[in-house]
This record gives sequence, C-alpha cells and structure tokens, in this order.
Amino acid sequence: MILKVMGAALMVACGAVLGTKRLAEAGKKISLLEDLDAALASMEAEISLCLRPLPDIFSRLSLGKGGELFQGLSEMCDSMSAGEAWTKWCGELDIPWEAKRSLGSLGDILGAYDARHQGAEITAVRTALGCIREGLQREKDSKQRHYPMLGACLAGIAAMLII
Amino acid sequence: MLAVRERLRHILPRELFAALETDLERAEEIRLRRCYPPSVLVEGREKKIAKETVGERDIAFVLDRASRSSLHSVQSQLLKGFVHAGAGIRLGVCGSFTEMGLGGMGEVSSISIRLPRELRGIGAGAIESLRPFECSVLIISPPGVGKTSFLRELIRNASESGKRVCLCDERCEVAAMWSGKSSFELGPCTDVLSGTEKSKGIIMLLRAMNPEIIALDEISAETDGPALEQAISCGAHIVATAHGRSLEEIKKRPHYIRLFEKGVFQKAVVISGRIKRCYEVLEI
Repeated sequence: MILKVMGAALMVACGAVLGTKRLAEAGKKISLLEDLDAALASMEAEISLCLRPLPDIFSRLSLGKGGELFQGLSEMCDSMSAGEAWTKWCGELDIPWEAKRSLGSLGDILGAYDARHQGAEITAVRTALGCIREGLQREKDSKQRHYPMLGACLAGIAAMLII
Repeated sequence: MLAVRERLRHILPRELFAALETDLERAEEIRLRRCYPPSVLVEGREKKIAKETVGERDIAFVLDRASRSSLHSVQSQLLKGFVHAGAGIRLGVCGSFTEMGLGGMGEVSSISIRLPRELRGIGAGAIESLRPFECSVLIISPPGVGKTSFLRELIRNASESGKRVCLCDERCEVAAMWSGKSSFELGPCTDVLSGTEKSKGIIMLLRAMNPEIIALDEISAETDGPALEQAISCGAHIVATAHGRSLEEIKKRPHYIRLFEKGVFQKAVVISGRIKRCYEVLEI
C-alpha cells in the first residue's frame, strides 16, 4: 500500500511538473520574441541612421544582449545574400509559426530596398511580433494556475484509478 | 589586376564571369542591360560575351554583391549614379530613380562595370617636363583615353618627389578608396578626400590639410570655379582633368574662359590616341 501511495504521489508531482514546464516553454518563447523585437529595433536604427551594411549589423547583434541567437548569421552572408541568410536563419528559430512567417517576410526586403522602405517593413514586422507576443502573454497568464492544477488533477485521477 | 579579377569573381554571377574570362585582360567595361546579352567594351567597341540575355536576377545579384547586400549603405552613391564595388571597380547604374534615390534593386535596368587600369609609367615624358610640379596643370582628353590614369601617375610622381598632394575624389574613381585605403598607389605624401563635392572638398582641404597641390578629376560644375580660384590665392597648385579634344576647344567654353582669365592653370597636357597614346604639354 505504501508503495502504491508513493507511486501516486510521484504521478501527481510529475503532472504538476509537466504543467509548469509547459508554462516555462511559453515564457521562453515570449522572452525570445522580446529579444527579437530589441534586435529589430536596433537593426532599424542601424539601417536608417548609420546606413551600416547588413553583415556588419548582424555581427554587431551577435555581440549584444541575446547575441548567441545571431551567431553565424553574419558568416552566412559570405555565401548568400543577407536576405537569403535571414530567411534561412528565421526557419531555424523556435517561435510560433505566425511569428516565423512574419520575420521571414523580411528576407525579401532586407538589403534590396532603400533605408526608408526597409525601416517601414521592419516597423510592420515589429508590430506583428508585438501582437503575437501579447497573445502568448495573455495565454500564459490565463493558464498560469490552470496548467499545474490540471496536471496535478489528471495525475491524481490516474493515481486513484491505479490504487 | 589580380585583385580586380577576384573582386569580379565575387560580384558577377558564375556563368557571366566564365564568359568574360577570355576578354578580361583587355576589357575596359562590362555592360549588363536587362533583356540583352552582356557585353564588354574593348578598345572603345562593345563585344557580346554570351548569347543568354541579362535578367533581373543577374542585375540584382551584381548589385547585392557590390553593395554587400545593403542597398541602403550605398544610397548616397546611387544618387550620383554609381556604386563603388571595391578594388577600384565602379558600377554605373541606370534605372528608375526618384528624388530619394533608387527605390529597390528591381528598378535597375542596366549596369556598366568600369574596370580600373593602373598604368604605371604612362606619359613619363610629359611628367618629366612638368617637374618640379610647381605649376597648375589641366589634363585634357576625350572620355576613355586615359585622363584619370595620367592624373594618378602625376599625383604619384609629385607625391614621391615630396609634394603634399591632396586629392579631392568626388566620384571615388581616382583613388577608389576601400576600407580606408586607396586601391591605387598614389605616393607617400598624398591625402585623399573622397565622396564630397569638389567645391566643398577644396575648401575643406585648404582649411585642414595645407596642400601644395590639389588634384581633381573632371572639373565641370560652375561652382568649382570660385573654389579653384580660392585655392590658387592660397598658394596651392591645381592638377585637374577635363573632357575635350584640344586646348582650343576647352578655351571656347565659358566656364574655362573665366578660369584661364584668372590664371588658374599655367600648363595643359592634351592626351590623344586610344591605342597609341600621345601626350602633348602646352603652355596656357
């Protein structure tokens, strides 16, 4: 009986952990989107104000906050255009698909138009990412309590059935 | 030439570079026009180098590579109609421009890739007769005959003889500065100011660099005149180039009449002959 109780307690704990982990993943995505927004803001300024070439902007981004995200992006520009490198890089990001699509659309614009046009497109993408981030945040907040509770309840029910 | 070849290999699509290989040594320019086959300019004549026509993708590829994937960073050059692509290569760009410049790569209809030639030792006799470089010289020739090459040679010789030469390179063609260095050997006493308008550049050089000689490529704007006069009154000598076939032809142009009246130039070097060049030094 003791073993059964211990097993049930373990299952309850596992369920709670799973629920919390799910929340943490959502939090990680939100934080990634925040980093991307900061990077886009920096890119916008570098393009519009400094007229800096994109490979140089990418290597500067890799040195800043959350720089590991941009590692290799500048090197990719040696063998392909900055736009193509951007599109490829976006495909590898762990973000919601609509955010990926929005970011990826910049691949056709970056470097191929004047600073004003690129700036406007980056602003539009930032707005879209902001909406996605807010949606994720709302979802996370509403499920903040539900996930661990739900996990624990489901695990509890399963444990009771077993006992 | 090796640097030019390597740079061209980088900026041209692979098939186009392969087609160009046999004519590269003699080519003066590479012409890419949308919907027409690419060609090279050899001894003043265009020669087709491929049957396939140039497409939007080819033009975009060249511009992308030349601008390091960053059209915005060459926006000010594009407003003047060219892009500096490194190793002294200059891209003349034609297409639909607005007041703000070129909207995007898709707007470009043709590109002329001008290849640099560093011709050491050209016009040596003329340069010897200009020593000790204490007079102002106007270099006259039709386009493509070698004004700029002779100007480089004159700058290098004057600089090597110890004269402080300041080059105002508005279109980045004479020194072809790339990452802070000149793509051509211009001598140890040469300072280069590139990208600024000549009239402004001359004043900047007079204020800041104490030049003995100010070198300029193609003086043609009305605003250049007063700046040149100021340079002369400050004791600097001028070395400049002008499009023309003869000194007589130049003397008929209102802009130059005033410069000659003010005594801005004392000597002229007239270059003629596209294949066998002839350098004639004349007193003004």
